[in-house]
Amino acid sequence: MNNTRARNPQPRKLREQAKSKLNQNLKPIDPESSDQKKLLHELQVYQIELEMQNNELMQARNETEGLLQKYFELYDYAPFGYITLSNDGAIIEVNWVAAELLNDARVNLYKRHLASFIAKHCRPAFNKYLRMVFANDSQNSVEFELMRKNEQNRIVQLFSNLDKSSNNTRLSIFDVTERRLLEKESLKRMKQIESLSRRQIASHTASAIAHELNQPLIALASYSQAILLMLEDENPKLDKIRKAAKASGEQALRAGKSIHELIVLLNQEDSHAEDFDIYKEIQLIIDTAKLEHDLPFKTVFKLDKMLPLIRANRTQVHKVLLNLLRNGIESMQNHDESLPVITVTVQIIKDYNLAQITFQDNGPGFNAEQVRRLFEPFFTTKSNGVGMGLVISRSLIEANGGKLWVDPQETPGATFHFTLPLSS
Amino acid sequence: MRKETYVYIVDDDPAVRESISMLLGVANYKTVSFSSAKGFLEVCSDDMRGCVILDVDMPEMNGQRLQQELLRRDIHLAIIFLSGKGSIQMSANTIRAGAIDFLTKPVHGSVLLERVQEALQHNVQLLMQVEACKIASHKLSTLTQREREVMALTVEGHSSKEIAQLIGISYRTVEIHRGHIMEKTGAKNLIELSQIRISAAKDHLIK
Repeated sequence: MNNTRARNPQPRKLREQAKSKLNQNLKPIDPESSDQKKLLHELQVYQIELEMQNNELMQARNETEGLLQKYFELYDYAPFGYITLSNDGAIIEVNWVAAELLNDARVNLYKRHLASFIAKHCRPAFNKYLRMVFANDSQNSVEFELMRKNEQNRIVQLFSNLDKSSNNTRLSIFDVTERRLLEKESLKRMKQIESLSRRQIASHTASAIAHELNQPLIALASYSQAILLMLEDENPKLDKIRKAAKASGEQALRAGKSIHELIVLLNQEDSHAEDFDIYKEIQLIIDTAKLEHDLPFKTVFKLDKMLPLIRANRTQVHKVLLNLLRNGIESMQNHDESLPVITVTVQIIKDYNLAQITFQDNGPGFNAEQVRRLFEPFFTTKSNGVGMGLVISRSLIEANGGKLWVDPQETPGATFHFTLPLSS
Repeated sequence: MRKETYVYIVDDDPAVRESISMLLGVANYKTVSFSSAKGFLEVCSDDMRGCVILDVDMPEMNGQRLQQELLRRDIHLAIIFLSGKGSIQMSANTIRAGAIDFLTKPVHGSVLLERVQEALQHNVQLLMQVEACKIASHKLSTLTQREREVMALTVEGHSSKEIAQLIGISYRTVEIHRGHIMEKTGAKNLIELSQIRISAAKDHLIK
């Protein structure tokens, strides 16, 4: 800043300047003449020095005022919102954009608590955030919903900056509603496309399976009926019966082989295994799921203290995690549970060198019949489900050397477990 | 000489052909198997009797196209379709085109036997009808132009007197024509005569 000079005038330099100014304006005085003259000279120098100091100060003040004006303009007309809060959360200062977001004139906003503008469901989280901000000056950016009268809530992103001297905090506030809505819309579209392609894949796969299986099956059915008819004969032709029995056995094996080949074919892609942190992967999918779903749900983690890396195909595990989480969220969405909670547990089973991951929701859970049929292809409890999610998840986990199962008891909430091998 | 009744099996899967032909053989049906629609068409003739068990999903020419080709060639075999993944639409189309059955694989052996029996009965009836039409058509072909004119008016319910007036010949001549008509067609009364006319018309339609 160039006003350091104005604020800290250098006394020695000033005096030298004053002296030379006096010498220019006055006739030089004989220093020997008298003490009074000397004193007068001294006073004159001093007077000029004071005048100059005054000028300097005036200039500094003007500069400061100009800067202050600039600062106010920057503050007031900034393209994003600024709100200054006292440490009880009341609004002290607010700029135009922030007032616009809070949906009131600036004069009406002073001394009101910012929390009263936050949507009710985010308020506890907001209050907690403020406490953290005032206790500790570094906080990440957070997002809250602002309530607006007769209008849709706005989603805003907050950055905070604590002024330690005044113990006020300045919040920068950005409206990210459009961005979030667009993101949500595109996610929704993507999910629809994914669901459609999943249905098509399911239909094509079923068709392929049907063709591969029905040929040997009709052969089997015909052979066995032929055998039955031949046995009714008074003198059964054993040779022919033997031939038919042998042929039916071959057809049964052919059916099994077809299925096996189909599975191998389907699992051919993505068979690459790597070491990775399962906890990070879980966090990632929870973030994704929170964006996808409107349901505000809480996540509780129960983790073993030491979590070694997992060795598996990350893409496949990601698919399984997302599938289990989505199932959980969708079940809670259609259920009158005031506080939806997903509990994720990661345990290490040392003896088997495995990690066991458990997903538990507090949705409606399953009855005994549903539990029994849960892993059947095309069985679904959802209105628009295909019924392949859990079947595919189980086969993916098994392909990675783990197991996937559900808690069979009829408790509220569904609990799924799966295991994966630890990195060696 | 009339040909014997056969069950023709057309399926590209050897195990399906072999097992069905064994089952039908044990149940005393005569079978001939073909691995493709083309192979079957090569030996087809319009005097064949019996039924075809026809696979829907075959490479090159599928079951539906074979059915159309058989209809075009005036071959009246009862068709039982077998499908590995049959859709309702496809079964509706084939039935509309004259197939008597559309079964989805796998089908129980005893059901297949039942359906074959029904198909064969159906074929016998159909052939009898076709035969009757042919005979009727043949009978009418021996009538003269004037006799046909008189027959048409007779069947429409006009009396000999009216017919005489309408075509400008004598009552007696009409009576003589009527006598010839009944003689040539072998009809005992007017109802039989009109049935013969309808059958002959069907024969024309088939051709």
